[in-house]
Amino acid sequence: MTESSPLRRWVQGLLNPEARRHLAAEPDADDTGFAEGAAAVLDKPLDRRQALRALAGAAGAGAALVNAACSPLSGRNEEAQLRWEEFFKKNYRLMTDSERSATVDRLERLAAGEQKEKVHIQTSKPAAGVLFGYAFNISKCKGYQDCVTACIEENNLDRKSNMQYIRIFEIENGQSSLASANGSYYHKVPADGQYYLGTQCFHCENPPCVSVCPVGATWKEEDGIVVVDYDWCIGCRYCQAACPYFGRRFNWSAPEIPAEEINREQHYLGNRPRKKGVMEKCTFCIQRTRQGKQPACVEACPTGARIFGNLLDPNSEIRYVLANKKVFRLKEELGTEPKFWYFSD
Amino acid sequence: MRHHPLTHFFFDAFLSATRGRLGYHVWMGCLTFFMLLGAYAYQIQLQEGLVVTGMSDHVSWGMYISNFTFLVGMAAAAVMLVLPTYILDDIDFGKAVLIGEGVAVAALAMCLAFVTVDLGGPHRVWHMIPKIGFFNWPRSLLTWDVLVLNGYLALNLLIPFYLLYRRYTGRQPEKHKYVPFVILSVFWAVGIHLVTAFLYAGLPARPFWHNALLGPRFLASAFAAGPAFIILVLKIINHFTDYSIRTVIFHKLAMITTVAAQINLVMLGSEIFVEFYHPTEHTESAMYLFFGLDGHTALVPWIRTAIVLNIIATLTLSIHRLRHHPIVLPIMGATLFIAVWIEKGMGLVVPGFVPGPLGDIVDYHPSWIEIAVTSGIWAMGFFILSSLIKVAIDIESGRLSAAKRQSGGVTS
Amino acid sequence: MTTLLRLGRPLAVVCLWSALLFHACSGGKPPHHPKVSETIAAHQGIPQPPDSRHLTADVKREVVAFVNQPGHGDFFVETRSDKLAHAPCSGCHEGAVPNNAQPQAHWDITLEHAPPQVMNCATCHDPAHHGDGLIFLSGTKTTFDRSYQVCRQCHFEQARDWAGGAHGKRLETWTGERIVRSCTGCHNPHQPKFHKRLPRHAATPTASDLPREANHPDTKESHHD
Repeated sequence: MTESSPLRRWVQGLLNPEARRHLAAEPDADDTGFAEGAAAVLDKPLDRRQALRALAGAAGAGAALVNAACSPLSGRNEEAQLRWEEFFKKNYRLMTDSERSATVDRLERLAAGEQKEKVHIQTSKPAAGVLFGYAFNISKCKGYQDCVTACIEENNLDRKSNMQYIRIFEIENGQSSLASANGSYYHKVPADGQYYLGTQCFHCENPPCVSVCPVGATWKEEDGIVVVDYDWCIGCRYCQAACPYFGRRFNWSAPEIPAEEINREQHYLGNRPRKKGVMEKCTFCIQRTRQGKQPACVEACPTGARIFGNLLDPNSEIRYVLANKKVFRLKEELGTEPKFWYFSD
Repeated sequence: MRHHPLTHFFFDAFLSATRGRLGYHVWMGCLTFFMLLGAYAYQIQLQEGLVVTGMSDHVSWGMYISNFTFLVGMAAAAVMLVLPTYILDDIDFGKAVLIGEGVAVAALAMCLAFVTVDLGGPHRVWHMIPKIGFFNWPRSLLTWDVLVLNGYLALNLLIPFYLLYRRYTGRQPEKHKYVPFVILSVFWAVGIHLVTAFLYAGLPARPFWHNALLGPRFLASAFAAGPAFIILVLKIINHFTDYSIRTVIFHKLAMITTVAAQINLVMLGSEIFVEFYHPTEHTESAMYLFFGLDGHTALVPWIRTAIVLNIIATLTLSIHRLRHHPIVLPIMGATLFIAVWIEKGMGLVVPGFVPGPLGDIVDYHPSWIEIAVTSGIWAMGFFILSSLIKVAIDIESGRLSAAKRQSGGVTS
Repeated sequence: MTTLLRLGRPLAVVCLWSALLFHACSGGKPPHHPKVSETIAAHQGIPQPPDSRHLTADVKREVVAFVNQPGHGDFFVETRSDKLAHAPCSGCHEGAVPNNAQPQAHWDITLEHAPPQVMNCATCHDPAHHGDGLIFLSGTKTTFDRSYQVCRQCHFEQARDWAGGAHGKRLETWTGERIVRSCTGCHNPHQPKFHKRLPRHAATPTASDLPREANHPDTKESHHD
């Protein structure tokens, strides 16, 4: 489509100046007209990227049009435009680097509009030669749950539903079945004759949740972290049924976090605020660990029961534990290969 | 002005579906009321999120998916009529088969509706469209299910449409044109129900579902409940319309229902034996279902009712004289239908989640929103079924045809 | 139709058998799930972790001097003396302190570490030359920053795990310079056991937790004391 078709001219004529400016600012604005989108859908073998861009552009223009009619505020206008483009973006895994930075830019602008304060959303990639693993010392954990609080604050978990990724179970000495454990104790700890065992997402090497997702909204990254693309999830909760460790949480309603408590250092696949109707889970604090920091739970643990590190580094603490301690994993017989080991002194 | 006969066909079909006796209008009006109620409840759910349902992180599928599972079976059961009619040329079934396919279409529409209302982000379903989105096929069983359900819906729309349209235009259907699709749909019907069973059976995280008998049991219970339901529908048609169904059809359907119900009962016994002869930790879900766990007995009265109904219906139908009785048969059909609905709906889905993988016991009670949406979708299913049957009967009985239209038999 | 059926059945049988035969002869492999150990074995490349030097730049540390440490490079221990309120001792004590003296300024210290036959103040503190630091059992002096060496005299197993990484706490990073907390950074040397307290967070109870608590009121009581 080199010559502009009548349909395209008609659509452009309808656009308000701002939307037109936006289209012009696009690097390949030629693809973004509605007519091209339609043409691509109708008679070309569909190039997904182009078609989506076209649709997003057209839809955005439409939204801008409606909004221009309804509200004189150009801020609103911009927000609607951003939201439309967000709606029509790709699965994060399939995005090019420039598309990733574009969506991060949109998300940051939207967040700034909503919360009046700047957030930073990373898109850092897995480092080569890194595979994260975790070890939990059941003879050290005293059940204080400092890790739970740290996790909630770090990862912007919904305060309204009291969501928590980490659960600490109180188990009687001599027992090992979680079925007889108490997952919601509240009394002075450590209680006599009890030991404590924490669970969270185990970032299985062979994760059942990933296989079952119908839209590929969850996957295992190169460094072993199982992540969710919150904007791609359709909320069918099949992964929740497939997880043998209760590692996944669903946003049954729109999550609520007090503005002053929002952690503004975020990762696209990590702690950026979620929305209603999508799945979320522990990401080994991807926004921290991809920078070299320890996960919040490890940092918060007062007893040193939590050990995190690189399984591919033979000098790491996690490798020392695996080589020198008697370790076990939960439900190993299921073949999920969790990268989360329990051990005792 | 001359239109294509296809246009006439749809126009006449629409007229036929929207016209009828007072009873028909009252019935359709009631269904519309429930559909509107369901729509209202669903709108609240869209607004607030799934928090308005009784589901939680622990029991993350509830009434919607239970009904979905059951209805896939209903859809699959249409094959029990299709197989003998089209392939074995068993003319007895000829009249019933269109009704069976109508049931399949309505059931599939309900299935798709139940899955949609269960989604947290229904407006993002386009993510599943291949190329534009990301269709995780063949890894995810859910994508298989999407494929087979939509394919089956297409087949069950196409075949009756072709037959009725030929009939409408006064021509004989050509066998080589539709029989291949019929053969395909037979395999496809088994496929949709097995794939749906595999959705559950493929999850080692949930020992209650993770067993090889689940698929065959799905089929057996479907082939019991499906024909039982069709018996009821045919009885109603026989009673309220001039479209008479021959007794021999009821006998054959009753036979299918009975054999399937017997097989289902054997499988139930086998399952109960394996669970309880030497109970393990994996038995806890069954324990919760049949006896209650730690004082949580939400499902116990339901499943016990289902088993009692199941046994009564199966035993009664196994006696020839009772099975052939015109009053006993529909009553037992309804009994069996309810029994399977409980057993394969909530009785299958909810215990899979209780106790949770980490031993949590959380009861599930559907909220009024869920109940309203569910009844709305059932009403929609009956609405679709009623209109389809109405049109099919009008065409089959010859009241509706292109010839009649030309001679002014049908006017607008 | 009948011809189709008559032909179709043998055809289907032939197809099925050839498919079976083909499968039987192709020597199929059993389905295989990746194991973590295999992933580790397959990636013997050099890790390229993120640069984390800036994260640990401000931590005051000292190289751990350890004999027979198991296969590790240098690692560091966070210093302690700069965090002690009363150090250095010579700020108050000029001369020797009698072994049986009342604690006075150290009134808040009660020793709950080991039975008195095994341990008293003088096990770690030198009463004769109350200088700045600790002493070994032999009487040799060392600094507060090397408390791990003092603890190691008895707790050699913990010290081994501490050096290896199974005991104790690493600071800030999982990569780069390994800086760990010293023994006394987590344990109060006078009362090394962790104390009882309420959890920081209260989980939403699930139904399964409630009746069990109700069924055993006595255990609940004992937890609360």
